[in-house]
Amino acid sequence: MHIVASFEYSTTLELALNKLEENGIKKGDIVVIPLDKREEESMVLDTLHHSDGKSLIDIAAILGTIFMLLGTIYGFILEWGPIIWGLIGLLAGALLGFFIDFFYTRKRNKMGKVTKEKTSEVIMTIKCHNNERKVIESILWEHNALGVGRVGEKT
Amino acid sequence: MKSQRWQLSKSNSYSSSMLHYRNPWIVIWWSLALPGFGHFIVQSYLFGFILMSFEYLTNTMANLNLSIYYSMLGEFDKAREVLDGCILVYITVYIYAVWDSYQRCVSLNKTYQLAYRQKENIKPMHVSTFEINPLGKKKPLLSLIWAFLMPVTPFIYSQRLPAVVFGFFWWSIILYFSSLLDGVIYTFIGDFQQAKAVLDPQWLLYIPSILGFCMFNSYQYTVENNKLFELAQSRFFKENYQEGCLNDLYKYKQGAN
Repeated sequence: MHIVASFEYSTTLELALNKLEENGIKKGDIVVIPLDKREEESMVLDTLHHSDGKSLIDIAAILGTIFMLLGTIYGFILEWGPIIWGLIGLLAGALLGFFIDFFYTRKRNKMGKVTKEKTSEVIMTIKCHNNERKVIESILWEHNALGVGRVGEKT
Repeated sequence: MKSQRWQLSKSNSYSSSMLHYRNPWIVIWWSLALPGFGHFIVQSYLFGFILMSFEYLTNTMANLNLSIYYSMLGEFDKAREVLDGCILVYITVYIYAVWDSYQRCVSLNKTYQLAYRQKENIKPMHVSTFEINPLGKKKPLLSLIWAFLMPVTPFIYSQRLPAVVFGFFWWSIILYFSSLLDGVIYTFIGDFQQAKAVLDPQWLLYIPSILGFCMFNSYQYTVENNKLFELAQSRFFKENYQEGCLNDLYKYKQGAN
């Protein structure tokens, strides 16, 4: 039979592989398929008009800094002083920048998809006998598998 | 194995460098905010440190921040009065830093594409008797929050010793001369007049740039660190765990045909 599991990239995943091999699963019976993300390809090809999740903070940081600077300066003549106005500036600028980036990036990105944080990134399949099933599945679950499935249980 | 012409990342036990795509406009902006920040983003740390030190020294000698402060409050006579002649050397270095960080960024982006396609194996761990530096996943949001609380701490989180040493040195000087912490205490107990009196605009105006930059850079670096980890692991799996055969999975259906 085959057991199939999906994982995120992590050090825990490599620990799971070590544990499986310790429990007598041969390396040749394990196949690990890392799923390439679409953005990784486009990141290399399309460098001038690149956009991915991280750009959400680019403009936020810029506007946050500018507004904080303004808040600090005018805080010297405003009621609450430079510290509070500086922090208000930082927050206002960062929020403004975040929204600009959010809508601008969304517009440019025709798919309109924002990558979810938890996605399957690696698929692992293990060829094994029925009596090994329980051990293997418990190892997989203990090492943060996102999901575990089985194929061909009869053999 | 044949030697690698280009390299995606290079680490040792106390510091790491990696290539990743960087937006040249963002690099230009941070160089404008404070010369040296752009170099820091493209990981030319030493040139960045020299330019930042130059900025702190000449800006303070020329009273540039103070002059900016008076200009924005509309007190132009005072702005003219406080500004010192050594602003001239500042201007040249300022413009050079912007241009230099830009051209470094553009050439690194090209190199990155070559290095990415080369598919070398990335060594995930570096040990020395002083430090251990394993490549692993880190939390971008966490390093952003720490950067806000204390701008130097995320450099410890991301194992960049030179930046930590340099950062602590200047951050403590700027904290001391700006009287930021006294200002914070007075602000929080509601004594705004006293806060205005103790804060020094010349030194205080560095802080928004530093805070904003550290938050941006530590967040970006952590995200890129995670991407590098995934890439390294992906290449490791492809090389080591794809010898098995999945044909068994399909034999029932093939038999039925």
